[in-house]
Amino acid sequence: MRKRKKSNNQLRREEEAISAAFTYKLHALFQTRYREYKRNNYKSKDKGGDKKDNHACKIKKTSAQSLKNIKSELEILLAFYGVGTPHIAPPNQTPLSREQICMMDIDFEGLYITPNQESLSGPYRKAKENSLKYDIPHTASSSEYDLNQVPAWEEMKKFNSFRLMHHTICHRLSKMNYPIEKLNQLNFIDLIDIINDHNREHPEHRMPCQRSRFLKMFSVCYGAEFTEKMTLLGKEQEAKDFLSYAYYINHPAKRCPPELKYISNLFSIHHIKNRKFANELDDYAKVNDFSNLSLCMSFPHHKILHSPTEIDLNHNIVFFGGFLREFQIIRNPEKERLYLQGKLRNPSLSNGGR
Amino acid sequence: MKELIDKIKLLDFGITGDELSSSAIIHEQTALKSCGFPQIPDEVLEFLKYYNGFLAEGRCIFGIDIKKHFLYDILGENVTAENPNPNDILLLGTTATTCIAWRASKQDYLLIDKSTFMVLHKFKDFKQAVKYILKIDD
Repeated sequence: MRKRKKSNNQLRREEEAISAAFTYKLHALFQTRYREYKRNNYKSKDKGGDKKDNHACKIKKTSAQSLKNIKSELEILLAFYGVGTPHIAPPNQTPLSREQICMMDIDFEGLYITPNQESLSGPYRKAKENSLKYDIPHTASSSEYDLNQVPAWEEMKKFNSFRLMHHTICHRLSKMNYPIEKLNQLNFIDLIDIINDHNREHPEHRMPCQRSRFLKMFSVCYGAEFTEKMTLLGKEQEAKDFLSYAYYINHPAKRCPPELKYISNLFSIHHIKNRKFANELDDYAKVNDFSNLSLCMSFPHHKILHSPTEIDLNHNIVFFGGFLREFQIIRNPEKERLYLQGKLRNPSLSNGGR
Repeated sequence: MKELIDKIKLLDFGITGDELSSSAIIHEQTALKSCGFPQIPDEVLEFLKYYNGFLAEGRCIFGIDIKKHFLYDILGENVTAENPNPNDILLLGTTATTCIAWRASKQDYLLIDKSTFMVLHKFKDFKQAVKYILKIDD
């Protein structure tokens, strides 16, 4: 017997029901963990000889089992809808260093932090102080600075955002008259400080971040499909606003209208291979590549991918707008490749006439 | 704090929670204590009186939301996070990849990697941490 095709309304209702079920499970998870924390705290106090807390005495001892049950229920549901499966980490992975984690973060989110000045290297600090105090003529042009001599650059250049700052870094080193022979003494914090100074002086030409670049790519490659899926979800206006928002964040010189900012809270960008497991990739720096990013509805969809266990989202899903296939967009690697080669431009990517 | 609040006002965007009441603060602090988490520091409470949580561009400062504990509420977020050191570290905000946190033992504010809980940076104070979350240049 042939199945009857579901109407848009039916699909939407079904999606809402599934979302509500997941939200309920998340709430149950919170309640269970809350009880678990209270019980553990009560236990540790008890061991330390503290007086028993009346409230804590009432807590049932079944929370650990409940937590296990909720976890497996969520995992079964996610697998059933083809969204993803729990992550299984391979053994003997070398943990990433603090610098590598910082690089991944800055590459993805952008740089919004002032480095601790005590961590700057001696030669850099001296050159910076001198350049602020005195007007020193340049002795070397920016092209004479070879960043490959800087040990920290070896790692940094693996990331798109830092690569795009290559010229700026050399230019600023030349401007502050940093001695070329001491390039190998520059550390990671020095380079971050240079980028930070540039961002503060030229906010309209900040270091780009992968988050914004992904949103732009998504709008160009999947804008039409996105509008279609969101319309199916009954959120046509949100789709329009999101595409306009993507335009503005990629044009920092133009101010994003405040009425559009709400839209970014509806969506999250999800790392398919979680950053925690970046070292499982052939190169950890690929963790912020477009192929490892997906756009998700923030709640409950994105939340569910991270709690209670890390879920490996299906690699083919580039937009996770719902648990049903009808609300998802399947990745088109060919389109993304053409976009990266600059061969794909979408005339519809605009500010929405604002 | 006033200077920071004025800067946030200029942002013209973001969603904040309901006005904070003293009963909500007491409720939250008691619940945190019963779970073994550190108490919310005074500096943070002062900020929460102006903005009870702040959500902008997917970056968030947690607030006190006793009605919906599991959604951007300090207790809710701390209970559901896989925090390896819950007796010392209280999460106060988040971005896609990092968290800001209060370390009670050393009385300082930290930037922590969300996935590994590795300390990435030590903030001067809570104001600097808020600026980081809201992408306000320091």
